Amino acid sequence: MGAAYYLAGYAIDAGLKSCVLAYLENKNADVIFREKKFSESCWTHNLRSLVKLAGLQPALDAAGVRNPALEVNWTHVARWSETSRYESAAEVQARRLLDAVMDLQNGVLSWIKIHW
Amino acid sequence: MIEQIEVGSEIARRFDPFMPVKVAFWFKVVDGYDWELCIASDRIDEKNLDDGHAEVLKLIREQNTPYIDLFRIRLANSSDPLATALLKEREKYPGSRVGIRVGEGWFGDRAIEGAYIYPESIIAEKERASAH
Repeated sequence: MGAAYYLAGYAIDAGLKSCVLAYLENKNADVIFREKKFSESCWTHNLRSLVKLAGLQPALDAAGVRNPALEVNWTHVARWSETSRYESAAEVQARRLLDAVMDLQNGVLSWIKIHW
Repeated sequence: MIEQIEVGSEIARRFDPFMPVKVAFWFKVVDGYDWELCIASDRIDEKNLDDGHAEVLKLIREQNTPYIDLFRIRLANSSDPLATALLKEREKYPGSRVGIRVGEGWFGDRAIEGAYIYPESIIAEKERASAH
């Protein structure tokens, strides 16, 4: 179950990095020149930072108001970190994260896919 | 950190009628990215965790502040090892009216860089203050 938990979180990590690339392709490439350390900042597994780097914070705030179930799912995703590979996740915790990630209607991955 | 402590106490106080707060604290895990607010209650369990999250997210939104967001909040049952360990730290100073800061160390099941534990009185005192 620990591996399932760990990999589910990495799906979100990778998805958000795709969103960063989409953000750059969407007429925002100049951010690399405006913010000297932008590229370096992307070398992270910090999901909160990746949301900001992808320019998604306003969209996430708005989505949370419109869809509380999505926002609750985000709280489960937000507890993940890459160091979870060294921890043993309980089955209930792993299943809840998988649900939060993969739920077709209110899942975090579905929301992320809209933005890449 | 002062702003975070202020915001955290307000959220814990407002959360208390929903699920009585046993202990609330800010903490940062070793190699973690951010300080996080943890609210622990005897009532929180896996079945009602999402209800708790929905309530605390509503309270965060009401605060409308940059000092906390969904990435920096955790709800836990009071039996959570970190919550239990930090509650023991607070119990070393019964009746303290100020928060307790602890430095780097191993607490419960994790290594932390530090923590700020709200005093037990924070909820009752704020309720009294708002009543006057």
